[in-house]
Parts: sequence; structure tokens; C-alpha cells
Amino acid sequence: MVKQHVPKVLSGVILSFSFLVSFSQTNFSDKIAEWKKTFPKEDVIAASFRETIDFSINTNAEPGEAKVKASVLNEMTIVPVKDFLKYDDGLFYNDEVSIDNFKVLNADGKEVKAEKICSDYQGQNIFHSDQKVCAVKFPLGERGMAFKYSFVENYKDIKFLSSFFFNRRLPVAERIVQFNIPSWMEVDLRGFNFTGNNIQKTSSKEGDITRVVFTMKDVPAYVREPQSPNQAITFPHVICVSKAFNENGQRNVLFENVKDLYGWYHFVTSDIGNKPDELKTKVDELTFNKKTEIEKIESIFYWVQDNVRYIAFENGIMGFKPDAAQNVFKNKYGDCKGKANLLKEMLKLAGFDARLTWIGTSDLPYDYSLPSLCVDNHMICTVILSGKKYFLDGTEEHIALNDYAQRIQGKQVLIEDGKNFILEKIPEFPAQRNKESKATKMTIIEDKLAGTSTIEYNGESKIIVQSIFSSIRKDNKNDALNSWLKNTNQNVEVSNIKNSDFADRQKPLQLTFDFKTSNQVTKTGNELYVVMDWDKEFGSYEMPTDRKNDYEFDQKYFYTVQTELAIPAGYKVDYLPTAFKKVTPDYSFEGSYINNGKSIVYKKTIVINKPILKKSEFAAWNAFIADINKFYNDQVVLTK
Amino acid sequence: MFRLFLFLFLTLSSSGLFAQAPQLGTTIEKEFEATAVPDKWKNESAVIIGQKTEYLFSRIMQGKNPYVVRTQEYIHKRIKLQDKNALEKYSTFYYATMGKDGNAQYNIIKPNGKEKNVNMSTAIEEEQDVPAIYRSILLKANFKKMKIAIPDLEVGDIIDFTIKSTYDWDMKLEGIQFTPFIFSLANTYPTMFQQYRFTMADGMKVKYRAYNGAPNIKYDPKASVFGDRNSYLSYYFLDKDREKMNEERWSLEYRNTPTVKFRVVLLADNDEESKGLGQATIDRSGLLIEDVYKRYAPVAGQLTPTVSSLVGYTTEYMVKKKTDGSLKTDDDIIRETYYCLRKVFLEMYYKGPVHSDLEKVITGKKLYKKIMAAEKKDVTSQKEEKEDEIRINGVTFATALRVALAAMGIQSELFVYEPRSLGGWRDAIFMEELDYVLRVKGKKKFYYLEAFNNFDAFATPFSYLEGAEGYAIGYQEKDQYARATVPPSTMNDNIEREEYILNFANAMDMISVERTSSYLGATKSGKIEQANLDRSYLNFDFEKYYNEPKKNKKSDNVAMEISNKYDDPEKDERIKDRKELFEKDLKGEFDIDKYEDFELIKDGRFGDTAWLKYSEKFTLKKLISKAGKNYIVEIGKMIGDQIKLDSNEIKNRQTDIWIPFARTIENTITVNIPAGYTVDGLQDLDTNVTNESGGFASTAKVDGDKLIITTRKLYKKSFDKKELWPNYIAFLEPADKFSQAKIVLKKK
Repeated sequence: MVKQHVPKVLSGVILSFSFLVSFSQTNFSDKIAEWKKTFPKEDVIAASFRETIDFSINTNAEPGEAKVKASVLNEMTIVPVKDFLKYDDGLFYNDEVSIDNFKVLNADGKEVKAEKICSDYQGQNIFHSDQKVCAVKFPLGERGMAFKYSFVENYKDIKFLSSFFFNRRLPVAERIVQFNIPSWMEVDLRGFNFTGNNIQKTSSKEGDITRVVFTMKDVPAYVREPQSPNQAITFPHVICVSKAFNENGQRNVLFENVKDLYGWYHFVTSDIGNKPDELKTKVDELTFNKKTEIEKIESIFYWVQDNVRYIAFENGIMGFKPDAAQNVFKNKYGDCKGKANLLKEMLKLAGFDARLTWIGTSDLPYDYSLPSLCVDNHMICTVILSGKKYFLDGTEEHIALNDYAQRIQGKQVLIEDGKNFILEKIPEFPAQRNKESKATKMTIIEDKLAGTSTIEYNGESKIIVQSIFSSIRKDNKNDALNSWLKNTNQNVEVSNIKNSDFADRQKPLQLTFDFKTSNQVTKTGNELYVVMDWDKEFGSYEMPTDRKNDYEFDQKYFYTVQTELAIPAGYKVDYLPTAFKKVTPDYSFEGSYINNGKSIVYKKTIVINKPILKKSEFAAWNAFIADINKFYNDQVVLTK
Repeated sequence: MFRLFLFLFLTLSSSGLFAQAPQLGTTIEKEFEATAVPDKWKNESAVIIGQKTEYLFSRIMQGKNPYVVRTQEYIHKRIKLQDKNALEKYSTFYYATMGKDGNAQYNIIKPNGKEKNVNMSTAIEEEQDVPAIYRSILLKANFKKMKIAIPDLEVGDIIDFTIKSTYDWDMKLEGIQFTPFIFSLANTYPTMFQQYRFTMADGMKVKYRAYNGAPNIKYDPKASVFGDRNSYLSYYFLDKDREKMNEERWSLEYRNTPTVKFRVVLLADNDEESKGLGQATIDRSGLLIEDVYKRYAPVAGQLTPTVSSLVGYTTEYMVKKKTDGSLKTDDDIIRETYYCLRKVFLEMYYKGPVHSDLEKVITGKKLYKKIMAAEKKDVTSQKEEKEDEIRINGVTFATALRVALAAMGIQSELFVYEPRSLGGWRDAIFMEELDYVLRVKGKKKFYYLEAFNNFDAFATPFSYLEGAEGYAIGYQEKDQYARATVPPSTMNDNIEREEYILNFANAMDMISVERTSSYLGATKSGKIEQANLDRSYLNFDFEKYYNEPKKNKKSDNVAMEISNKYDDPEKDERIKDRKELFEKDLKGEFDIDKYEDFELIKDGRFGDTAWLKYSEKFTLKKLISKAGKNYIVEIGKMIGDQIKLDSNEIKNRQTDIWIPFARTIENTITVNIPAGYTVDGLQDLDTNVTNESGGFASTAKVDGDKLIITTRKLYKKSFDKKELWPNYIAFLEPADKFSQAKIVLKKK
């Protein structure tokens, strides 16, 4: 063991020295003009940002303690491009990762005292976790004068070491991720989203250490923007898969492939402590009088959706291990794991083959060929009935059996199968699943359009309406529904709303209402100018030229509109806008006006097949939107 | 001997010499037993069946310290959850208990009447603040906060929770007045029963006032405990059947809804030798001007090194200008003194050595900040990082301006007032409610001068000062004060004016726009900082109010560079940022294709009528649509979004109308009619509605190849009784209708 450590120390000395060359520069005033061009609008730039990953073996590991540890040395040379700013950062850690050796040096090499406030960090929708954050803040000096900022993240267990993203919260002139891999350690370094990013990879051997260095120059800051896909989907990163380590001539496998990953999941979920007896009365009640197997599954699945609130506990191992089914049942709250486990136990009691199932949602670009804990972020329950697999996501609130939310469609799942596992894929639906169709009949009354519309919502469109409606205060529901149907258009008055059952998961949701809309008819002399489409869906979806990230739609869209306008007595059609059609594999628009003699029929279909619009596709998309707007901005003319 | 002690003890106890302090939470009113809610509230998200907040103030000996008051707080709430929204809101219980006997309980009453106690031992520590729905009045920031996910909670359940805390208050360290509270009795949910109770030991009182129909506080003999040597008197107010808060446009919560103000005060310190500490009482009195004078008169008399620097420089400048005849009247002197002080203040801030490349040691801004931090009401250090809007400390301002004016022979007063959001003068019962500005008499009127920021023009009106009532405190003699009211600003003081020139471009797809915007008075707020983002005004200030430095004279006060220049290495970037900010703002108004140019014409920072004026060039899309060979132009949209009253607003107005300030909004839109087209559809563009509250007028005429449209919207007052709401409907609706108006460009 001692033998293995000596080269590591030596290589550390060499590496530290080589780094000192760039880390020692303190005056970057001559760089500012160049950086202002490369990174406009940035106040602070990292001249360099290096993460150095070292591995160590824990020879005296206690039971339950990991044998292999890792440390990540973060070293940044921070340069303000304005005078006397304050720099702040958030350092995240948890029970498995500690932050040590935090240090800030000013341009004179003197240590700077940083404000450091550490507290629990609860991510969105997380009630309690072991995640913590230290908010650090320190004053920077004059523009161009560099501060050195460093700290070490110590991983107690290598299985939690996973992703290294190149884009960080500040722009970096030279970004380096360096792995110092000892000969006793086997890792697989997998790059994601490298295409289009100039990332250099070099590998060299120094004694017992293989040094793998990824370098990227002029890396822009990662900026959060609305509707941005998860960083993992688009931004370059390296995932370190810790395959195995050798100790005393013996090879010990960590996560070499999905079998090993499943093995650990299976181990963690093997002693949940479920007491199915406590669920029996409820299961009997829910399945009583249900004629078919499907009805029984639906009854249990929908009860969990309706009655178990989502509250997530992710502290330590609870981030991976579900709470016992009887606890979730009694508490009537749980997270995805707890709900999946409760579904499994209830369905098993009802006589079904139900299993825990791991999945990475659409936020993650991976499948189970990547044996890492970062491959998934969600748990559901799979029921196998007559050879068919039904995937039940207990965190959904309005989904029907055999229907799947956008976020899990097409994703690979890892289904438990005793000591084995099953890999499967959740079906992916076309945009038509989310069809929203609106049928309207209207007439011109004085200077207003009045009529009746029926909107039918399906799939994701329906779920969005149901979710909004169910979360709104009872006393505000009518107003909210009214506003929803007006689509924020103050010209529209809505009345006499009729709706199908908001709680029905199987049938489409249908809303019928009367409306009156002003300012859509302009009268001059003998002419009437009529706007037949005031919703103009997607007309304002032009992507800003300065947007930094790809754009993620809430769902795939399929809109159809048919509007019939009765031609008023004494008038005839003088002009109808020209039909427009544009079809691409990812999105399409088709719109037309037809004169039927007594009425004008307006038809429109919009389809968005792909939920993520890449930045490289923005120009074509904006041209598409411009064409749509040209069509929208054309009006019907009636003359006496 | 033992017998004697026993005898004495029994005698003293039975004679009631030492009254036992009452226990909180022992009486649970029958209203808290209710499980049903009135039918009229069946469709509410939740109903507060009962809520009670109870305080007990008693005196204790802590070690050898006799100056300790023990405050005990008891909160009891019972709420019926009637929908998912309420269920989610209350599904996590956040709380903090203070003191050794601090305690929290949470029970759930199921619709079948079965009561479940939540096991509080599963609560976990929470570092975030306690949400408003659970927050107690007494809660201090440094106490451990907890949270618990409530198990088995469903729609239809009643939650019933209590939080009990004790806090020991050292009068010597923390003073003798507890935090004052002002709140409305209308809650987010309708309330069946609510009660506040104060039980106090001798020598205490509760200052209390009820407003807008809130209940009065009452003495409760049954809950009071009497002894010969001390007693605990109990006072309470209760309120029943209260509808939820009704949110109306232009409404001030504390002036329109049932509101109470209260605070517990110690009448004397707890010296054991002190005699005559009377039984606890209620004090409904207002503020005594003598007390107000005593508290506030010193505000404009705080001579600090900063004040000396400000006044020294300013006086030198003003004397020089008066001598050379530049200043004709007192009004000129008052105005220029204000602006010169502002220059010195800004110079301290922006040219202090922390902002220069030359100095790195403790001088300039750093010293200045140190001085400022030592003064109360320090706003500057809080705003340190928002560098383009820095407001001078109120005390420094009042003293410096008063002293600088006095040096020029002009006297000024400190005007102490009740902000209008809290009430008139007679509504004030706490010193903390009051605020102040400096009042100076000009030739024709009084100037009310608020502590300036970078941009405030002289005598800028502020919404909170509209009609504010208070006292003007003079400094020429002792006990000099007089009642006064700030006259509300008028629609001529606050003007927003926009002039548009429209041309049709890009084969009639776009409208190219030149817009000149002018703002006066309170309407500048929100625009002026952005318009002056380039900081050019600093150069102007520094040059105009420049004093040649005296040679070989060392300043004992704040060290700073004094020159007539402000060199800003970031200037080009700021100009770029400014353009982008205005572009962003415009995107909130219109669909813009391109934002081409921004030019600042008047910075809005000088003179008695300080117009902020700038011009912009941009191209708009989507305002023009095709209709055969003709075009429809949504011309009404050029006047911006107008208030759209919904049907409820039109039918009902339940509260008085508090407009931020009277103002005039004018638009002139000149449309260059494209060659080969005529204009149609002007018939809807002529409107004229005016009444005592406001008005809207518009005109449209074709003059050669130009269509000229004008609009004028007036808010004539900053306050109206609710009965005059129809006046507002009368002009708001036509303004909204105009904003939807379209014209047709017809091919000839």
C-alpha cells in the first residue's frame, strides 16, 4: 500500500509546480480588452479553472466504509474586469462530500478572509436532504489583478464521484479537468456533448500515475434561462465511471457495468422493512368489485396519485432507499421512491407482479450503458401483466394507466428482477397524444364577434389544465378558468362555461363556453375587417438572438383549430388571406380560409414534434415564426 | 420555627399578597370546539375557525438583575382545509419555540371527529425563515426553527395547532418598549373568531388603537389576578365573522381595512425599591407633540465630520456664488444649496479613494462609510453595492441642509409626519410610525425636501408625502413647532409625455418609430436612474459646483479627491448597458423588431421643473396587419397598456381610492401616411370625458400627409372617497377602448 502512495505524492509535487506557472500570474490587465470581447458583459473572469482529481485507497476501512476515496482540488485564478467587486460563490457538499482547505489569496499572495455562511440546501421539491451549501464572499481588488481561490472536495466513497462540467457560473479562459489515475485504479472517462466544443484530451504517464487532462479554452459562463434544458443535455461534461480497483493483487469491481450498478441498488432496496399487512385493508377496499385486472391496477394507481402528497426526503442513503410502504401509506406523503415502493407493495397484495424501477428522466441524456449513480434520478413501479409492462409513476397526479408523461417517454428503465434486472424502454408517443383541438362557431354582432367554442384537451395539454385547476384556491377557480379560456386577452369575455369531469383520467377534458370579443372587427364605410384568430399560438415564440441556451418546450404540441364565421346578411367576402403551409420533420404549420358561401371556415394545425430546440436551429425556427406571423397578420375583408 | 414559617406562608398566600401569574393557554374558548363552517364560506379554500394570540408580561429576577420582563406568547389556530391549495400550504408545519417551556403541538381533526396528535419528535431543524402563515409576532431571528411534514392530512381535515414561547427581556439592554405592531384583522381566509389578549403585571400598559371598524380593547376582570403587592390585569379584543381580505386596486390596507396598532410599554423600571407601580392599563392616547419634539428635534442637529465636510464645501461655494450675484432670491439659494450638497455627497461616494486607482488605505469612501455606519438610519451602507442609486442618510441630510441654509441666513424646519399609508396625524400612536423631511419656506411656498439620491430633483414629490400630516419643528427657539400638512402634488406637477413619429417600413411589415419621452415630478421614478446610467451627470455636477482647492490646507475631515472631472473607465459599457435596459423595457410594451438608438436630452436632475427627457428610435412589428390591398394599424396600442376594469371592479368599490399621486399622461402620435394610401377609421378616436376625479380626451386629424393623434389622461387627485368610483370608471373605460382602436390605411 505504501508503494502505491509514494508516486502519487511525487506526481502531486510535479503537477503543483507545473500549475504554479499559470497560477502564479497575478496581473492580467493586458488581457482585459481581449476578454471583454470574448466574454462581453462579464464582470469577473477566471483566467484559469482547474479541477484535479486524485484517488486514494482506504487501507483501514471500517465495515460500511468505502475502500476508495477521491479528492477534487479546485483552483481558480479570478480576475475582475471592474474595480473592487465582490465575488460570491456557493460550495455544495453533503454527507459523502466535504469541503476542505478553502483559501483565497490576493494579488500580493496574502490570504484574504472570506465571509463563509454554511447552511442546509433544499433543492426544489426536496423537503429534507443532507445537501448543504456554503455561501462564500470575498472582495476582489483592482481590475486585472488576480485572486487565487482554491478548495478541495473530499469524496468519502468514490461511487459518488461522477460529473465534471466545463461550463461553470463564471467564464473561464482556460478550463482544465485533470484525472491523476493510479495504476491500481480502473476508471472509464466518458465525454458527453463534446461535439462542437473544442476540448483537447491528453494522456501521459508519470511513474505509477496516468494523467488524463481535458482542456477547453474560452468557456462561457453557464447562465440559467427560462425553459433551458438540464445542463447535462447540452453542455460538455466528463463522467468518471469507477470500474474497479486492485488491492493486494485482487481486482475489486465497483461499477463496471449496469449489473454492478443494479447490484448496489438491489442491496440498498433489499431491506426496506415493508409491512404489507398494514396495507391490506386499503388494497381490499380499492379492488373490491373491480371486474378486471386493469381496473384493479387503475384503482390502486389512482388512489396513490390522489392521496399521497409528494414530499421528498433525500438525506444520506434515503436518497436511494425508499421509505417503507406502510410509512408512506400512513403519512400520506412520500417521494418518488416511497410512492413507487408503496405501489409495488399494494399491487403485490392485489396479486400483481409489481417491481421497483429506476429511470433517468428526460433531464438526463444517459442510458444504462453508463454504470454510474448519475444515470438516473427517478423511481417508478412496473407492473407486468400478461407479458405486458405498465409503468406507474406515482409522482404524477393526473395520469392514466398506460399513459406516460413527456419526461419519462422513450427513456430506458432498469426493472428489478431479483438478483437480475430487466432493461426496457418506456413507449414514446407522437405529438398527437397531446392534441388540443378548438372548434368555434361565431357571428358578428355590431362590432363584436360572439359565439361558442369547445376545446378538447388530451395528454400533456390535459394534464397541465388539470394540474393548474386542482392547485388553485377553490374560491378562485371560476376566475382562473375564465382567465385561462380568455388566454389573457382582455378583449375576450367568457361566459356559460361547461366542463367535463376534471378528475377523469381516461377521457379527454372538454371545455365549452360562450364568448364575446371586442376589437377584432374594424368597420370603415362598407367594409368590415375581421380578425378570425386572436390566439395566434406561437406568434410570440421567436427566440432571442442573445439567448445562451437551447429552448425546451413544456411538451410536444398538436393544435388544431376550426373556426366558422357566419357571413353577415348583406355582406360578401371581398378578401381572404392566402393559405399557408410549412412542414419540417420537427415542426409544422398549416392554415387556411375557405369561403363556403354562407360562412368562412378557418382551419389551423400546429405541430411541434421535438421538445428541444437547439441553438443552431434558432435561425430556421425564427424564419418559421416570421412566416406564421405573416399569415396571422392578414385579415378577412367583407364588403356590403 | 418551622411552624412559624408555615404560618407566615399560609397567611401571605391566603391574603393574596403575591398573586400567582396566570397561565397561558389554560382557557380554550368554546369557539375552538367548532368543526362546522358557515355555509357562506363552504366554497372558500380554508376557513379560520379560531385564532388566538395571548401574551403574558411578568417581572422576574434573573440572577441579580431585577430588570427582566418575561414575555410569554401563546398562539392557538384552528383552520378547516377545504381544498388542495390549502392542504399543500399547511402540509408542512414550520415553527420556532423560545425558552425552556417552549412547546408546539399540532392536531388534526378528521371529518368523522376523530382527533390525531402529530408526533412532534420527528420534526427537523430548518434554516429558512418561518413562513408568514406560521410566524409568531415574538419570533426572533436567532432561534432554532423546526419543520415537520404533517402525516395523514387530507382535504376536509381541521388542523389545530398551538405554539408557546417564553422570552426574557432585559430592560436595561433592550429598552422599555416592546416592538410596535400594526396589522389588519382581515386575513387571507375568512375568520370565524379571533382574539388577542394581553395580561400584564403592574407597571405596564398596552398602547392600543382600533381603526376602520376594528374592535376596541376591553378589560377582562375574570381573567385578571389580583394581589396586594402585585396583580396581573388582562385585556383583550375579539373579532368575529370577518370576511377575508378584499384586494382592490388603489387601496391602502391600513386605511381601508379593520386595523389595530398595539404595543406593550413598561411604565417604569423594575427597581424593587420603586413604589407606586400601578396596575396595568390601556393607553389609547395619541402622540404628544412635546414627546415628538423631544425625540425628533435633535435629528437635524447631528454635527458629524461628514456634515462638516458637506457644509464646509457647500458654504464656500454658496458664498462665492452669492457674492458674484448668481443667486438672486432665497429660492435660488435653497435650491442651489441642495444641489451643491448633493454634489459633495456624490463626490465622496464616487471619487472616494476606494473607487480610485491611487489610494488603497483608509480614506475617502471607506472613512466616510465608517462615519455613516455609526449613525442611525444608515441607508448608504446597505445600498453600497447598488452603485447607481445611493441615497444620503436622512440625519446627515437634514442636519447638513439646515446648517448650510442657516449659514446663508435661511431658516428651515424638520417636518415630522405620519406617512399617508398609515393614517393622518391623529392616527399616529408610535414614534416609530413617523418619518421626516426638511421643510424650507420659499417665496411662494414651502419646499418639502427628502434626503436626496443621485437623481432626485429639488422638491421632488413623493407618494408617501401626498397630504401627509405632521408637525414642523423649528430651530430658532426652544419648543418651536406647528401643525402642518404637505399639500398634495397636482396633475401639473407630475407629467408623463410621449411624442411619436411613425413611418411605415419594410414593405409595410414594420413601423419605424421615433419617440421622445418626457417626465416630470414623481413620474420620473423608475426611469431616471436608468436614463442616467452613463453617469455623465457626475461630470456636470463636479464642474458646476467646483471649488478651487486651497493650497497647503489639510482637511481634518473626509479625505477625497476634489477636481472638476469624473473619469469613468466603464463609461462606454454603461452607455451600452443603458441602451439594452431601455430596449428590454420597450419589449415589455411592444413587439419590437429592432431597438436602434437612445439619446438622453435632459437628465431630470436640475431646476424647479426638472424634466427628464430622452429620445429613442426603434422598429415595431405586429402592429400592422394586411387586409387585402389595405392595412390595419393598431394605433391605440401606441399609448401603452391601459387599465382594464373587470366586471367585479365595475360593479363594486368597497374601499376609498388612494392613487399614488395626481398626474397627467399625454401622447402625441404623428403618423406619416404612406404615399398612395388614405386613412379611415378615425371616428373612434375622438373622445372627451372629464370629471372632478380625472379624464380622458383624444383627438385625431389628418393634416396633409400626416395623421395627428393626441391623447390626454388625467388623474386629478391622489385620494377620493369610494362613492366617487364611477368617476374613475367614466374615464378609465374610454382610455382602455382607445388603446384597442385601429385605423385602416386604404389603397387609393
